[in-house]
Amino acid sequence: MQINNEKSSEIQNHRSRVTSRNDKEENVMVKLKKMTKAPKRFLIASLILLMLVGSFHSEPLSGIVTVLIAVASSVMVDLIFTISHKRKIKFPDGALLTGLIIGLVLSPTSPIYVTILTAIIAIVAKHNIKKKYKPIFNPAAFGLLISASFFSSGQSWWGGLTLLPGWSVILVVIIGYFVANRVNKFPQVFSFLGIYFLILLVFTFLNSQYAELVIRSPYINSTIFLAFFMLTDPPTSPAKYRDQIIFGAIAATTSWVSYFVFGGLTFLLIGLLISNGWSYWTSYLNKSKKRVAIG
Amino acid sequence: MSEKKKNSKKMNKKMIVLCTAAISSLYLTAYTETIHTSADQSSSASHFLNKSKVETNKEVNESKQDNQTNNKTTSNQRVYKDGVYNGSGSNHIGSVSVSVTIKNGSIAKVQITNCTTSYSKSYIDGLPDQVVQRQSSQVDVVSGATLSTEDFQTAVDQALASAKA
Repeated sequence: MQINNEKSSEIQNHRSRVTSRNDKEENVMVKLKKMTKAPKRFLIASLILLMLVGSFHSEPLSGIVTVLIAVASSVMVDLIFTISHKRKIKFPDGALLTGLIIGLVLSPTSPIYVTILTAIIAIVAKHNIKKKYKPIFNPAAFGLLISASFFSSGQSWWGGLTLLPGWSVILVVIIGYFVANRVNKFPQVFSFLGIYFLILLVFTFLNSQYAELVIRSPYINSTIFLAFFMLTDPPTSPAKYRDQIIFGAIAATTSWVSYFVFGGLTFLLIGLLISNGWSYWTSYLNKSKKRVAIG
Repeated sequence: MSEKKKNSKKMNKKMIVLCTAAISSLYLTAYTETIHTSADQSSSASHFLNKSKVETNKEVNESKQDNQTNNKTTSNQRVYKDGVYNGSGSNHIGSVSVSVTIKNGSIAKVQITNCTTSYSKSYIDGLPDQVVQRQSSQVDVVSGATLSTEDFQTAVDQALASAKA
């Protein structure tokens, strides 16, 4: 009788252990699902995937090291701002995202100090050039533009798989589609790419040497990378579809203008930052109109 | 509330497919057009090259005899002054800077000191060794990084020009 009781209690214990393990596994799965459901975290996961694929070039570790340095610097500076402003410390997904983009755009051969400075400039801009809690300009684009202008930082856009064979850009597009779907920014991406390629087509028919450059790798990879992973940043771009279409059109047109005026690497970043400025300006005008209407 | 609903509404799948097709066709048309133009340009360029090759061969044959006597005296002369010289080359995609070290009148070392082109520096990492081996800025054009190669050549030429005795 006693033996039977012991056996049944053992079975019960075993069952409870199994169910608790299953519960834990389910909890982990739910947590993972929740983590990736947030647009920023999904974007982070996508960029990490691109980093891993992009690392399959001649010097795989150098790219990852650049990303790690950029991420560590961004998170550190963001943490300093959080503590100094006495805000609640939470998972720094914004800073992580900024660091990842910087690391994936800067050349793997960039000096360490350039990577650190770029990350610092980006996070300082994020916390100082803002409207309420939202940054006006895409922090990573801002940091990259300043570092390219003042420190001549090399930008290879290797996150857009520029160091891999040309066909690999298809993978960037596929991952980019998932991101655009998650953040609901398809109109913006299509408007940007549509107008960008339309201008490109016009210059192709005009036999422009500039079009011949832009249509190939690494330019095409950097354009795709910017369209899906930088242009779609929710805090610095509009939510309404109509505004998204205008935003994309401004980014594409100003990118081409800056390409002809300045050339070099920064034309896409300039286009993005100008459209960020437009987004802020229109939201400011709308708010002041509303205030006048209420008054 | 209605505005929020509007914002949360996602783009129609058919519309996504349609836009993708339109954008892809724009890109592919531009791409095929550039292939045609570059093919035309390269064929005319190769025609020009063949023509100029024939002309230069004639010139070379004529001047060979004169040079044979001159070369004996100039081969031992130093072409460059010893020292470290800098040069840079730039075009629409960025710039490349180099430092060229001259020892005993010949190119001993070439270093890329700065590279801000759209193409990674790793593309042209092999070019400095070619300059040392060939004792000339005439390096092989790196496929996929033609403009970076041009920048590099211009930079080396500039450094060598300032090193000339």
